[in-house]
Amino acid sequence: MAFLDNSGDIILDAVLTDLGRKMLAAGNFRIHKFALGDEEIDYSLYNTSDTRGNAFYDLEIMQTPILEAFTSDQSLMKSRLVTLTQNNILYMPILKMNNKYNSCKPDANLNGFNLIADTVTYSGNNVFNSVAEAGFLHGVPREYASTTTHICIDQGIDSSDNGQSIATRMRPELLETAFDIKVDARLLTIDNFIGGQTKTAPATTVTIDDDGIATYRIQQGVGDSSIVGPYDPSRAFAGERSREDILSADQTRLTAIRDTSEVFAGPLGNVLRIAPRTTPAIQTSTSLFTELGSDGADLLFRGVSAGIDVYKYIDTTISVTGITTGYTLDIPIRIIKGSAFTSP
Amino acid sequence: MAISFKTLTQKDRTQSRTLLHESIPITGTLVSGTYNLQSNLLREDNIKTFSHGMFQSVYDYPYASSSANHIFDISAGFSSSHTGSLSASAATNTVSQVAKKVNIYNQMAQVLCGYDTNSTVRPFDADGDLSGDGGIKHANAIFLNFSRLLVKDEIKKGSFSLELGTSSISNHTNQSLAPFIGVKTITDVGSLTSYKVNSPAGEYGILKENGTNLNVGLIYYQAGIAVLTSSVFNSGANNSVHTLMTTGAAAGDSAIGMLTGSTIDVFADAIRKRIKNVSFNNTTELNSSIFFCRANHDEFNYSSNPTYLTGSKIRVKAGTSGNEALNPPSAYVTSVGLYSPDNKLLAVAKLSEPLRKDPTNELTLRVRLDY
Repeated sequence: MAFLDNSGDIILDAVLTDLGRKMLAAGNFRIHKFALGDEEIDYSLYNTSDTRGNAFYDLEIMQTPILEAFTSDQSLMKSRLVTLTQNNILYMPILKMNNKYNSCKPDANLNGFNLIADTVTYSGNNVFNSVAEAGFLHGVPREYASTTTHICIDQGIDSSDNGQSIATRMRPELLETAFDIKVDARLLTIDNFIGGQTKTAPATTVTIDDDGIATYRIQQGVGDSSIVGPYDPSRAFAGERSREDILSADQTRLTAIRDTSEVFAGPLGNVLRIAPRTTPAIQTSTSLFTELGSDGADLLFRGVSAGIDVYKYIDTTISVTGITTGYTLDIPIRIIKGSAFTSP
Repeated sequence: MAISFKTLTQKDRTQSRTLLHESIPITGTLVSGTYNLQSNLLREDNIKTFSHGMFQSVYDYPYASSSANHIFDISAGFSSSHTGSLSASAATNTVSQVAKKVNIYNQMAQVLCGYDTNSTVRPFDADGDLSGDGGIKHANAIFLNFSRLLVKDEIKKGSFSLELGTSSISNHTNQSLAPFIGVKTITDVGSLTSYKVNSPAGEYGILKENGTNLNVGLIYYQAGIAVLTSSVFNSGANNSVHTLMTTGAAAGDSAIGMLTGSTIDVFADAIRKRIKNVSFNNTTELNSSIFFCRANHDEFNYSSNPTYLTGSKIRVKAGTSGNEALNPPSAYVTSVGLYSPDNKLLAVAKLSEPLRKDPTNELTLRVRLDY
């Protein structure tokens, strides 16, 4: 799309999205609410060192050229303006992948997760005498020896300034109590990671739009919710990402918890735990790998001697958005389907 | 609770209707003479004829090309029942598509004029006054049917103008120039304030010949159809002197002679070669929903933009002396998203430049969606 002419009066260039047109055709087009977006803005251009005064701090931001509206409903409004009742908030929480536990540790090279497409690939062609390394998730919910079992998205304030610590309570209005998770519906589904004996359960609140993007809404305390609160040690299970008893910990213990369990130095929010699964089309066929993917070779994931000699893979993302703050985290996922293996 | 959506109430939305006009000029050279002749040497490449022969289509480019746009159709016909009609004399002519011309006339008349109380199709009335015997009828008619691409919702009243060459073909040695020695301009002058509404096809105006002010046709605005009497090419008092239209197969024929003695395609060819200019303004009716997206002073002052924070600290609060937390937050609006109740993005509006939003100001962004 071209840039909008910003030489004269401020204008609004409005279009229906493809989804809007589809709903118009279906007779259920109803506009109910609005949001304001700022996706072109790079706030790092806010220059507080400009010696001419604070009226000039945002000079470069105000000169940002704006693109015409896209019609894809998935391409715009990625970052929205937020209403908070207080004006004295200096720190806002963000989302991060937790990499402190092996059970949710991402692949270091990918900075995301390898998702094994089917059981044949995951078992290394029926070899079970070793455990998959961290960063490898199984796309089929079965009991195999696994190091990494789920993905954890932690919410928190990434700063210890002004005396903030993990023991400091986060403002309730900033706490994420629900998340939207967007995935390509051709490739992935999402399970709640509940932990304990139950392990996982499919997330049920899902809508799929005209572009084939599935949106899962996971809410705290609703159904098999996989959201763990900041002071929720009762949900601690061995080998899983869990929450320690922060409230009764002394300073030494707090420091230990911060270093070994948490990815934030400041106040903690909720934790979302999910397990991505592959769709039947991904498990049983290579057609999507041929269309969307690439070929790879010699991937070791069960120790140094057991791996996948030949495989196909698809790179995709899982997009997680906090409903409260609108903050979005994109998690890289590499779906791997092997065709030749090396036994240990 | 932090929120990023705001519900639109009834006070935040309204509807409006706007009429948009475009000027449509059609030059005569486009209608005849610009493009190469087809292999049969009868017509240019932008003229499409049909095996049924009931009308001829004019395109703005050789019609076989996907770039071609349909401009208008030409057809002609006459009444079979009205006093003074041609059918009785023409019925003996086996080459002149009598039945098809009558069918065309009746079809156009029933759509544009409707029926009388006896369920008989009304003929085209010269002045639109249907009282009594109705006065003069256009029993022998030429039809110019403009495409929806040009007309859009309707032709703007009072904007129609048609220039026709009306000299006899024998007046000049160059047959392409001969018709234009004498040119008549036909308009719907006065129709902006005076038009007829007694047609089932919507509103229509009277086409008048400039100078003589004779009623020579009708223009149906919503249908986008001009109906001309075949006598429009004539000259003299009350257009009573016949003009020689062509030296072709029906050599020496007048318009009325060609209407009975030639096929519709041949007659349409002769008409095309006499069109100098056609122009009108079309009308597009835009129905708009207007949404007033109001951001109050205490709303939308923070952002979820990943660059908004550095180490979780809000950038736009940093850097000034004193307690940074007390500095007012700010954010910059570049787009407005309109959502369904279940958070589906239905429409997007982009601002041409960022707008600063902070607790010291309020914004009302007016988003108009046209249908």
